Amino acid sequence: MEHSRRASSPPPAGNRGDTLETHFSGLHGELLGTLYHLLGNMDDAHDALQETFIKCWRNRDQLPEIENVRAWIFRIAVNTGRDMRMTAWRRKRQALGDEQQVVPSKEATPEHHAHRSEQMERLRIAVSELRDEEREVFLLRQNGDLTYEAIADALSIPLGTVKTRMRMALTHLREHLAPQDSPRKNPL
Amino acid sequence: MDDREQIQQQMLELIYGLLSDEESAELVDRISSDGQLARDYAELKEQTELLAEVTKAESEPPNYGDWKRLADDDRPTPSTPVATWASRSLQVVAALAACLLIAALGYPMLSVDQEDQSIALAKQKKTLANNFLSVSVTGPSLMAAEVRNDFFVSIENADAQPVDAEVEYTFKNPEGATVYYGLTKATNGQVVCQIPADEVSYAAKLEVVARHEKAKSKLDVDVKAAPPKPIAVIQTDREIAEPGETVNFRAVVLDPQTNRDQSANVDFVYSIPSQRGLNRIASAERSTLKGVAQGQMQVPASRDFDNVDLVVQSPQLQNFFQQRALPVVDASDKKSEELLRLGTRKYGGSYANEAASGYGGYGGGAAAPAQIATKPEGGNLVAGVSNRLRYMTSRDQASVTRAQMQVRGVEAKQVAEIDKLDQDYGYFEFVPQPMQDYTVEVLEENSPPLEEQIAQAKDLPAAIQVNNGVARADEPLEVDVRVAKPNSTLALVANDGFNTIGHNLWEAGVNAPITQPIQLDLPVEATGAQRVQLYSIPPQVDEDSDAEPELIAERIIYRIPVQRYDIDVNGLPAQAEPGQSLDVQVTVKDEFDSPAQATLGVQMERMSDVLPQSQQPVGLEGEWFFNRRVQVPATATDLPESIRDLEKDSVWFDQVLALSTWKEEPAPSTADGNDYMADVAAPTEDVVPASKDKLPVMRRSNKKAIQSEYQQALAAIHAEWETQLEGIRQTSSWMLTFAGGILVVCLIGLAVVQGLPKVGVWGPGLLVALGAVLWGIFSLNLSLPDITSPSASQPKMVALNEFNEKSAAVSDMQVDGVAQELKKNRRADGAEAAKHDDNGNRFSMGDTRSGNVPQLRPAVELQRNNLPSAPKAQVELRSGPARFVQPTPSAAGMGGSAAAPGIAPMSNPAGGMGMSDYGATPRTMRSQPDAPADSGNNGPQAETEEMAPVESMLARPTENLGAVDKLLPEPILWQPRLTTNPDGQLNIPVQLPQQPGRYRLLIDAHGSGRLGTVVRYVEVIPPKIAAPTLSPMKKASN
Repeated sequence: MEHSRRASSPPPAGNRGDTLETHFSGLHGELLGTLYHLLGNMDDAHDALQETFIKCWRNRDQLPEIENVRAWIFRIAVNTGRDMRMTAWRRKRQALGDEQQVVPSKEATPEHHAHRSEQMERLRIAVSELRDEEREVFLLRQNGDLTYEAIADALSIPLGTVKTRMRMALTHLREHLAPQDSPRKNPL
Repeated sequence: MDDREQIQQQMLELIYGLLSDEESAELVDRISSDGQLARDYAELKEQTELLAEVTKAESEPPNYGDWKRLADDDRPTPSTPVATWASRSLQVVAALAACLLIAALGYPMLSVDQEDQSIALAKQKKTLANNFLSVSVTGPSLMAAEVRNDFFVSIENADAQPVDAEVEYTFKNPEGATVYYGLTKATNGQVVCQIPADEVSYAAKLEVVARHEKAKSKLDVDVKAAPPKPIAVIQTDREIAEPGETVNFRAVVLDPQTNRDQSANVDFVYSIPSQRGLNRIASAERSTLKGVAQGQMQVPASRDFDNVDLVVQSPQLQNFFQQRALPVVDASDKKSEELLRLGTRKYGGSYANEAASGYGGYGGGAAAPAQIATKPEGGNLVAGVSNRLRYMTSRDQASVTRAQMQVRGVEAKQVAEIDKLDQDYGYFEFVPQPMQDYTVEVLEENSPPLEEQIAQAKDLPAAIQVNNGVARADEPLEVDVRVAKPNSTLALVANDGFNTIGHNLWEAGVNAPITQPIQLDLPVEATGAQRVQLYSIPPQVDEDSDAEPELIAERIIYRIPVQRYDIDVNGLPAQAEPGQSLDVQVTVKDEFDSPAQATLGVQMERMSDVLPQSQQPVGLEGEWFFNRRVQVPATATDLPESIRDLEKDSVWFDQVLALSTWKEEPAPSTADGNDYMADVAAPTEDVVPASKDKLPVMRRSNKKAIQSEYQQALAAIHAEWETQLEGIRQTSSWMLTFAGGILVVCLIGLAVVQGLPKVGVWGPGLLVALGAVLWGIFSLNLSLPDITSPSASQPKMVALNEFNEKSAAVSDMQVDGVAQELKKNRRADGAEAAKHDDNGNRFSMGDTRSGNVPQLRPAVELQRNNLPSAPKAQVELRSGPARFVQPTPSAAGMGGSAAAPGIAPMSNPAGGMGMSDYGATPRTMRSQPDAPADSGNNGPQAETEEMAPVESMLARPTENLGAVDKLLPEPILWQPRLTTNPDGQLNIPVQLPQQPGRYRLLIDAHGSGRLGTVVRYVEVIPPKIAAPTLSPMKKASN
């Protein structure tokens, strides 16, 4: 069973700017979350998102030729995140950015708030504990909803490598996603 | 991983689409069939949904409009690929141009650092200075033959720092063959190059090569060695002749430096003052044998002359001839006073070339009872430094009270000697003030001064004080030079009247007044009286200057011969009977007490009852070593008969020397002299080398040439530095211009491509680029400032034509390429200018034999009253204004003439060429109020008149004269040339005459560079009147 692909149809040539903005508006949460998990703090994530938009905007003329705009946007976002993560400045900010960024939940009902918050924090930590290459693949799959072929194309790595990284990421996450009664294994 | 975990992993992979379709279908079936798995799957699904929420972030959507504007503003303007390519290309080029611009700005600063440049330049200069050595040679301009000669060599680098270089010196003969070679090393830049005595005569050139590391310098110096010609001493068998008498004579020809007898062809002639022309003496030998030529002449019988000049002439002799004036007197006609005047021959008596001055010598007669001779040591009072003003007074022996010395006006230290009964002598030591007159006067108690001498302090560079004026010849001469003026160049020269026998030339330094001890290591062969002169050398700042060295001090010294003969006489009793035959045994030994085979001259005469005993150091030794050269003051009475006695009394002897003047032996200039010259053979070229060369000391240096080369090399370095800097500056300017231009073009292109919205990017860059272009163009036209080293701001450029090919050879420097290029330039220049070394800049320290010599003017002048001084006298030094009278004519001179051989003032000594003959105009002073200052009593007539009481005093013994025969000495023995046997012995049979009296035996010996003289007396007493109370025999010590 596979998730249905939400491939975007090419927008009209005169409305490329609006199409791109629409794409970004629709993917705002996913893009920001992806960049947040890639960069480690929300400020960098916002900067990276802006930079991603600017890059996409400057290349909006290519939209008619792009089959999977979503994959295109996520690829640019991941690359932008990578670039920012590689800079000393960003690394410094990342190192200093030790704040516990709380991602607001849509289901923040009072009765489940505490439990969910605990679970979400655990999952956030689990994601942050992934290796960078595993996290990239996982986030592209999770937030970008990209096929593994698209991920392999976006990251310019073989498909098997993408899947292997995904499996390893899932293996790590399984320890956090497993049912509560299941004995936790020490990750170490 | 257990099964549960494995199924959970598969479930996750199923959720995330990792399983294949078969695996998915199989797992779905399994989950459907197993309730627990279904629940787990549901729970896992819920967790993944929660994970999806975690991985998303919720925030307010941004304002995409702002992002769009930002993207539009920041994005590259070119929209087409060509524009993009152009834009990027322009950016790349602009970036490169910007880099070039930065490099252009930083290039000069990185290439040239002012401090580094100064340090490097100073280092290079120092290195360069060490590559240039200058050699200075100081030595005798006329080397003394037969003795060792020293040349002082100083080595300096271009910074005038002494360099301990290796010095190689070669003496060469005129043909270029090596005569003597030496290799030594300079210490503190100084080294002495010596040439042994045996090689001096052959040397014509001295080549000095100094090497230090890679530097080399060479200096050629022309040296001259003209051995002095021999000098003849004429001796006669009697001191006074009568008309018609036959006089025996001999001439002993000796080398003046080695004292060895010389062979010479001689002619004996005589002249009579009343007749012109020469009369050849036929009965005389024409050549010397063992240094002796003898003969006899008959004095003309006419009675119209007072003396006969006996002359020996030869081109081989110095000055071609020597003469001796023999007084001629008819004892039957002359009065005893005239005999007295003629019969006494004093120290300094005329000997050679004094045909005009005639017989008489200094004073010509007995000294006045009270006279004063005063003279500063060296001849001048020098202001500002301590001077010794020496004095000597004569007084009556009856006076037991010695003069009380005092100094008026100045605090003068007085050192007085009291070992003489009839003399007071010593010196005052004080520091005179410039242009101040100091008067020394002889005071009588409660009466005006009778004798006065005045000395004026001069503003001279230095004064001398000889510490061992009488010393053995093997001891160095010690002189204290008291420097009055700083930065003076002084030369202390010792010479024998012909050659320089020792010298020292030095810079006095900046400290003055100061006493600098100078030691001259004179050759041991230089014996007898010598002359020490101190010259002030003018600075050689201006080569064209006519400044001549100035003779500022002169002093006579005496070098006691180390090698000499001792003569023992046996068989001559103190008393003998008339007609007694004696067999006198003479033994000659040298200084090692070894028997010597010597040539003897024997003379015996009966002493005159009228004439006082001769006071001269009679004999060859005294004549040769002392009397031939020294004119003693009139106050120096009672000189011992033997020169050796005089040597023993060294303090007094030194005082006499300090007061004496040097007797010159000038070329004949009188009419008689011209006759002599006409009579002798024409001189050859080398006859008078010394008269042409008047430089006692010469100094040669290539310092100027080396400095010139050094300065040019330094200038080349500076030029190279400037060229290098100019290149850097040019390159920088071109880089600025070029890069700025490129940047301007690129930025203009970017401006075109990107448009005004990017003006914030290309605008400032464009301004900077334009500024760079302008600065580059501007700096290209700028003239570079001079690159100067800290010490040499303006290198001294010297004209290239200072050099010639010889100069290029002189300094074979191993310098860097700069110097090589310099040489190329020099060769290209091809200049043949004046000699590069300083030989052209030679200075002349005058030879006193020449007419245009630096003249040493005496600072002491004498005026004496007409009346003789009273026995009790005082000598005092007084300062203050002096009263002057007209100068005393010096025609009569101390040498006196036969007509007026009176006692002359001190300022007018005999010999005519002494210290006073340097052109001084005597100033006399009257101290007696009643004596008119303009009195002409100081003229020759006055001198003659004042001799009257002297003669009357001396004539007292003649009052008891009986027979005329006793007036004159009578020779009884004359053996001009005898030779001792190998044991140094000789027997001389002596037949004493019948006439009673006191007889004197004089024996001279010479040979192998040694001289000796002995005087013995024998009293011939008739047996009937013989008494033991006769005067004891006076022995002369050797």
